[in-house]
Amino acid sequence: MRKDADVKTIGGIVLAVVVLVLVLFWFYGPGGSFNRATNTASTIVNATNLSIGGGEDLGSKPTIPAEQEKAILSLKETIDTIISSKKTDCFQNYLSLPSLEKSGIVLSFEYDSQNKETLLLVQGGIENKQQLAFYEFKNIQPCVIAGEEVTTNFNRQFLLKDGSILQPFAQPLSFLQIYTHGDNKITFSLGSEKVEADLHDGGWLFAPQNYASSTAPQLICFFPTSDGGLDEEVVSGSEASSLSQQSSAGVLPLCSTNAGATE
Amino acid sequence: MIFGKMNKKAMSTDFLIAIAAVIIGFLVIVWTLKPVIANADEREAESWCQNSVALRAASSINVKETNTKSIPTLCKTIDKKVSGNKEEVKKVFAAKIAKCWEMFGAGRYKTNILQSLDIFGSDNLCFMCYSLMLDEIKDAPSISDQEFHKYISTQPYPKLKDTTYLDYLQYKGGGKGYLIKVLDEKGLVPGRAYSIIYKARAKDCGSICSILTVGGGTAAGLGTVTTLVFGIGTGGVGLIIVGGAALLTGVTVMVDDLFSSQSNVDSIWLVDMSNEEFNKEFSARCPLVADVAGS
Repeated sequence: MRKDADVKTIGGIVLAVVVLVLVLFWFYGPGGSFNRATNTASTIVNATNLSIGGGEDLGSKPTIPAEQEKAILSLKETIDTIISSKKTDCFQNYLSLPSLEKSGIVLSFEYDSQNKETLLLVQGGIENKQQLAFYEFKNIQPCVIAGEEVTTNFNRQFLLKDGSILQPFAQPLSFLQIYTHGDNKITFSLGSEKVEADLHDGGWLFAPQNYASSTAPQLICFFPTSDGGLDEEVVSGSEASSLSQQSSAGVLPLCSTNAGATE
Repeated sequence: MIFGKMNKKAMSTDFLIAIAAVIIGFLVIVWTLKPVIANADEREAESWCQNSVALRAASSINVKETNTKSIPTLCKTIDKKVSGNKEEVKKVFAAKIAKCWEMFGAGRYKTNILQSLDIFGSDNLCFMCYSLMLDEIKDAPSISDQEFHKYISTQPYPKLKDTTYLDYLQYKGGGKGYLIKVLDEKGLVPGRAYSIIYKARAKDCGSICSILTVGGGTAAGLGTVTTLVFGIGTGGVGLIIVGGAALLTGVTVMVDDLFSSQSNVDSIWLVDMSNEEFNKEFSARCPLVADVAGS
C-alpha cells in the first residue's frame, strides 16, 4: 500500500511539473503568448510615442535678484530707523525702489490690528505667489498721503508750510501693495474705492503723529504720485517746496540723520 | 525614479505589461476597499490617499501630449475638530496644510493628478483634504491671518531639517507650489469651519484645441496676493477684496485670476468655509472632486 502511495505521489508531482513546463513554454517559449504580448506592446509603444509615469516638476528656492534685495533691505532698514528714532512728523529716504518689472516682485504691507504690527511680505517666484522674504514691524501701521482732504492738509502743512495744522494729513491702511505694471505702482483702498497709483516717490517715507489715540501704532506713509496722491513734482521733483528740494536745502525734518537720511 | 517619465526606447515592454496587470488588479482591490477606506481613521486615510495618489501618478500613461490616469485616488475628506491654545491651534492647521501637500505629491507631479484624461487640457480641480472645525482657542478670541502667516513662515516643518512649513510648500517638498489663504479680517475664529484644499495644476488646451480652433487665452491678472479678504456687507461676486475695506473695481479680475486662470502649479488653499459667499464662489470656480465616500 505504501509503495503504491509513493508512486502515485511521485507520478502526481512529475505530471504537475510537466504541465508547468508546458504552460511556461506556451507562455514564454519562442512565439509564445508572452513574446507575442511583448511584441504587440512594443508596436503600440513605438507607434504612439507612449510612456508611463507623469514625470516630475522639480522646484527650486525662489530668490530675490540682488538689486531688488538691496533696495528692499534699504526700505526695511529705513523703517527700522524711523521706529528707533521715536520721532514723528518727520521724513526719511529709503533711496527708492528700482523697477520691479524684471523680477515681478510684489511688496505687501499687511497690518494686523489684533497684534498692532505690520508684516512686509516680499512675494515673487512662481506666478508671483511665493513668499521670498518677510519682515515684521511692531507697533507700526502703513499709510499713504492720498485722497483730496489728506493731500490738501499735507500740502499746506509740510510743503507750503503756511502754519496751519490740519487733520487728517495721513490715510491709515490695513493693506497696501507695491508691484510693477510696466512701472512701479502702489495699490490700496480709499473707502470703497480701489486705487492703483504711480509710485515715483523718490524714496520718501513720512512718519506722521498718529492722533487716533495715545496707544495707536506709529504710522509710516508712502507717497502715491497719481490718482489721488501728490504730484511727482512736489514729492521728488525740482519744485522749491518739494521734499527733495527741502532735503537738499536742509530744511526738511528728518527722523534720523544717521542712515539713508538724504537722497 | 519610479515617477520619472521613462524614455520610450529604454522602457521595457515587460514593465508595461506588469503595469497593466497591476492596474487591473488594483482596480479590483479598490472596489473592495472603498467602504473600508471610507471608515478609516485619520492616519489610515492619509496613508491610503498618499499611496493611491503616488500609484496613480506612477501608472499614468502618456501618449504624445495626452495623459491618462486609470488608478483612482483613494482619498477622503477628513473632518476634524480643533481646539487648544493659540500655539496648538496654529500647529494643527500648519501640520494639516503640510500633510495635504504631502498626500498629493508636494507639487512634484507634472500633470493634473485629479484629472483622468487631459486631452483638451486640464481644468481647475480641487480636493478638500480636511474640514477643520475650530471649536475653541483657549487664550485668545482669534488668531489673525498675519499671526498664522508668521507661524508657517518661521516654524520648522518636523519632517525635514532646516525647513519651515512654507518652505516645504514652496520648494523643499521637491516640487513647487504656494499657499493661498482666504480668510476674513479676523483670521481663524472659533465656531467657524475651515477647509484645507489641494488645487491641482491646470493647463491650457494644447495643439488639439489649436487644430479645432477652440480655446482662447488665459487672462493675465495681478496674481499677487497670498491672502484674500472679504468685503463685509458688500455682497456679490466681484466684491471679494484684498485688505480691510470694500473694493468695487478691478477686484473681480484678481479673483477671477486666482480662481479661473490656468495656473500650471499645484497649490494649497486655506479657506474660511463659514463664509457662505465664498463657499459658493469657490465651489463654482474650482469644482471639488468627490472623495472615496462619495461626498
